[in-house]
Amino acid sequence: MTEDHKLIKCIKAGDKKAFDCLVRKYYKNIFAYCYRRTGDKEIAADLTQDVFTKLIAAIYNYSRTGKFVNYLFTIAVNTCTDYLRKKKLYVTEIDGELVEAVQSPPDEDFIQEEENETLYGHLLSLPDIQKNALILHYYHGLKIKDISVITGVPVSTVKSRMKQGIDKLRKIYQKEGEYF
Amino acid sequence: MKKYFDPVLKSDVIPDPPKGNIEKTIFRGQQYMDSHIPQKTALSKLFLDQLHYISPLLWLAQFGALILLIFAAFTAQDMSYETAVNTMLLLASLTAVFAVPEFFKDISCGVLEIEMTCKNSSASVFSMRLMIIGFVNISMITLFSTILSVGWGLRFWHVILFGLVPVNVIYILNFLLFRLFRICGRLSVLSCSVLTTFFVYGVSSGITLSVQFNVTAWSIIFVLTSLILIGQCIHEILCISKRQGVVLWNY
Repeated sequence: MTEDHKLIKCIKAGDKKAFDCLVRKYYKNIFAYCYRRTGDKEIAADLTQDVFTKLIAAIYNYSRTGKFVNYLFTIAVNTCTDYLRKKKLYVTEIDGELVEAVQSPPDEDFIQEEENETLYGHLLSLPDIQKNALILHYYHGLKIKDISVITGVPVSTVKSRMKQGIDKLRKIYQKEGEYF
Repeated sequence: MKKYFDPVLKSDVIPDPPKGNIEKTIFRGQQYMDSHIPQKTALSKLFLDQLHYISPLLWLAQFGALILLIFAAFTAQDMSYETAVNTMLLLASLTAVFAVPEFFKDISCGVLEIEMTCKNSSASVFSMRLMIIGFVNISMITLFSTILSVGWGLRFWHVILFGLVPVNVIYILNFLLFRLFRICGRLSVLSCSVLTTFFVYGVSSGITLSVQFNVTAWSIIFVLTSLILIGQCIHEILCISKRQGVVLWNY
């Protein structure tokens, strides 16, 4: 039995400390994912709270099939997708911030930060399904097989979405004069 | 792409969540846990509840068999070995007939949905039923064997084997038949139980009359049938919680 499954067993038995451990173990990871999907710290915090609330409601029916982290990410993916569908979030604020940043004298840290923001901005501009696949794979280190389980689509679909996302990013960078 | 993006990805910085959010999340989850304390029933209450709901037919069959034996004890002066064996086989079979529908009450009486919503798990309800009926069966067969061995000077271990082996076989066959033919419904379950009982009684009666009794062979058969029956019971207990309201026999 893995550590996660031991914690779940304790939670089902009513152990609150086990829930505390589980949340502290995965909070930052889920918050990071929600932040990357939404681009807003406050919204990401609310969504992370929703994820763990949904987890505790569903945990009593949870049966040990596969990795727990995949199960948790499935809830996170669905929660963020539902939120974005309702809010129809667009990346406009990040472009505005970038314009401001360019005016001050560049330094190494600033250039790195700008690269991050540029990449992140471009990532946010991708269609949600492609962005989701790229975030889960590159930022959270999840395997394509796991992403397929989390998103509920075949492995070939995940690969196709990732390829399409990367191709779009490549085109954007090529337009901006950067090559890779 | 990975070569280009990797350094950028590694330097990716996520802002810290708003202060106190982790604690707030934990608190909310723990509040939910407080409202979701699973119910626990005392073992004695579970036992009494299941005892209460066992059909009176089962008790009638058990005590009817006992009364028949006591009657035979007073009227039959000399009982031959073959008659004693047949008596044991018949009595043991009678104890099993009405036990089978009790095991599968959720199927024979269509109470699956009710049992799935009760505060005790279906597995614990089923296990308690198994224990009660198993205990009653073994007790009655032991009592019959004692009366036959004491009353007619037969060897206790020989007589008890003639009781336990057919009962094991009856249960094994019923478990198998229910799965193979997806039998459900009160009448079907009872009919299957009666037919299986008569079949097993007929076969074991024929075997005991035609083949010389071999205590080793019967002991081995008893051990084997007991192991198979225990395996089937464990399988049923493990699978019963997976029913989850899904179509019967869908596991």
